[in-house]
Amino acid sequence: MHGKIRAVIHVDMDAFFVSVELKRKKGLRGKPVIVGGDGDPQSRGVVSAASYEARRFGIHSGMALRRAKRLCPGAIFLPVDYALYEEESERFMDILREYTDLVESFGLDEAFVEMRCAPEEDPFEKAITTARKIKERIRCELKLTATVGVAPNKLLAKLATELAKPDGFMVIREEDVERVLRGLPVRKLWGVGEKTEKRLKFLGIQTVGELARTPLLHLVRYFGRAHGTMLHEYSRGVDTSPVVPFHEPNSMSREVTFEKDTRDVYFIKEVLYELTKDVAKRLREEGYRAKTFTIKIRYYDFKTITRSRTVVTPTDSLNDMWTVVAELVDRVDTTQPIRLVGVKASGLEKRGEKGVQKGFNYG
Amino acid sequence: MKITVDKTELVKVLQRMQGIVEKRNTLPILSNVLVEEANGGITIMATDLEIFIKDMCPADIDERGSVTVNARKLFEIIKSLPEERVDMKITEDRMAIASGKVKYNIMGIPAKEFPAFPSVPEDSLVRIDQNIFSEMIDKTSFAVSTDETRYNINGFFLQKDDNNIRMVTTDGHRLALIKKEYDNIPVDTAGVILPRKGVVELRKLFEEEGSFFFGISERNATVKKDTTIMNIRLIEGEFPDYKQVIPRENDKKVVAPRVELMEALKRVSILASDRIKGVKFSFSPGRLVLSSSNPDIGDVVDELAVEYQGEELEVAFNARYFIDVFSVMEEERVFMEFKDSLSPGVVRPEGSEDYLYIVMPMRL
Repeated sequence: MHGKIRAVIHVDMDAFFVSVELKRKKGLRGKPVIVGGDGDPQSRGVVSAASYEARRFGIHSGMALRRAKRLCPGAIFLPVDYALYEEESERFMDILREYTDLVESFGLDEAFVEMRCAPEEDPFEKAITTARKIKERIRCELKLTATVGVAPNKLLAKLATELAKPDGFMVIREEDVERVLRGLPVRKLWGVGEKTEKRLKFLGIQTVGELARTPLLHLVRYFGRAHGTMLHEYSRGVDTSPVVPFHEPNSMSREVTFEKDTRDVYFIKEVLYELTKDVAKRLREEGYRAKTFTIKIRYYDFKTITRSRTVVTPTDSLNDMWTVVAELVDRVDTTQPIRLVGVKASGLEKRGEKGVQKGFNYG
Repeated sequence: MKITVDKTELVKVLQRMQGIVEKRNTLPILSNVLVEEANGGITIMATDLEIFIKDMCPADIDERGSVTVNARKLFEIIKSLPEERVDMKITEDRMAIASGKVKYNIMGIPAKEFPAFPSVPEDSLVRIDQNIFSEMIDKTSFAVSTDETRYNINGFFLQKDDNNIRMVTTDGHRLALIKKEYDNIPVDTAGVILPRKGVVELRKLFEEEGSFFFGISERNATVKKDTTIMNIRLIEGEFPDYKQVIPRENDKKVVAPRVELMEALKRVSILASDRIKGVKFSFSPGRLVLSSSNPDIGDVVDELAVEYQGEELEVAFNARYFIDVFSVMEEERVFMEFKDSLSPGVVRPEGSEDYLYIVMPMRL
């Protein structure tokens, strides 16, 4: 890859959950629509997605539904239908995979595509043509809109879509990099969150251009080697990370926030059983076995605890998993009201991999 | 209650209790032993609710009474006493211990809170040969599953089979089966599962000289030796149908020198990864090559002469599984049977079907 020009396409579906909902509820188009929790703004769920109309009221994902209701009393609230979005997401990914295997999904609604081509072809030109086709096919076949960015790496491709949203198309060429980045606020840069932004401001660095001019040593001193180097490279538009078609997961988990805080142990166990069932199903579907199981309990006062146990033989069996989870539940204090529970399986190993101990099949 | 008791006797009895008292602090009283008067002595009892042990210690008794006190502390105290004569005074929740000039005053929990010892059908117990049982336990105990989520294999399956008694253990990757001719054992063909911890305690008891009596009731196994009675709650559950995993079509037969092969496996497994000691067995006529490689350290090859006439075969196993079985066998030569790289291998002493060990391979 070194020395060669890369071409990466980033595709980001616009307000994905909401747009998928609007496909079947056409009357809601142009209105502030919010998807979150079970769709009841009095309940305690959070906003999963908001239409652009709703975003104008300052609503963003992660915000409590009740707060969203206060900000925009006229908004329409819909429950999350994850299965539906997953299905739509698969169709979206299928379109991308028709062009190349080098597709890295990033959540349900985003993906990177690495463009490869014959030596005599220009990958960048090919990427631009392909990106236009992808955008058009998403509109025609899925009846959804996406913003598409083309750039020499993942960092810049994602920045391009970020800048062109919604329903946009943007190309950042090698020679444009400095001009595009220079005036941007640092927060726009991938990897710069609220905390980093604050610390950069403290150092008098507001724009990406200023960050790029800050000596590397300086950044390493304030942010440590890894993070400092990353900021330095990103501010110059440098990103060598490859498009990885598939991420080996480290863990699989499910959690749920209760409608109302509860102390009902039977109910808590019932919910945890359902969550364990989901995790077991995912493990089996994706061909993994897990060794460590963790439960997470968040109390009414947001105090959060976890309890975990590691078994000798990795498993994907619901029975085995539930035995462990049930025992973990018995070890936590359930006399205080509980707000959220979760189950996590980690220490994953692929089934049927080299060096894996085979077991008897006792039927 | 006032008691005078012999230190040596009491230490011996308390020693037996130590492995059984509950170490996890679930119910405080389970960390205690119960001391109460009995005919011509005192009875001492301990339990973790799965194993109950009861023993007697001759003593001179003045008044009646009983109490429970911490098992560990009592053991340490009695062991440390300066004189052979030990005087005790028991009230409802206290025990005073005096020997020579030393006086202990220990807080306890009233005896009425201690779990009741299960009733023991003493007349249905039969005499057993503890040496046979000890051998059966030793040759199968390493294959018992320690994965608590698979409770039905966390123990020893004991089953009657014509005039034989069988003991079977498995952890899902390997299986050990031993058969002994024995007809007066009170176990039926349906079999029972004895929990691992109980059998470990039983095995310790078998180290002692004396006559042992054994019985199975609906939910418990009972062993009695002189005044010691141990009662083990059976594992409720179904032992897997182990007969279906015994290979019948392993046509590649190997005879190998046991100790030599075991030593070679130990050498080769040094480089295998820490937990799973994967070693490749490559058989060719007259020869077995063992090899292992570790991406971080390097690789190793070893070789030994074996009796083998079949076609070439490569199969990988966890070396520890073989070392475990070779170290409990006495025979000079071992017999091994294989089929292919994905099917289970069988190990047994040359010329005998009474001890069988089945191991699943690892993927090459």
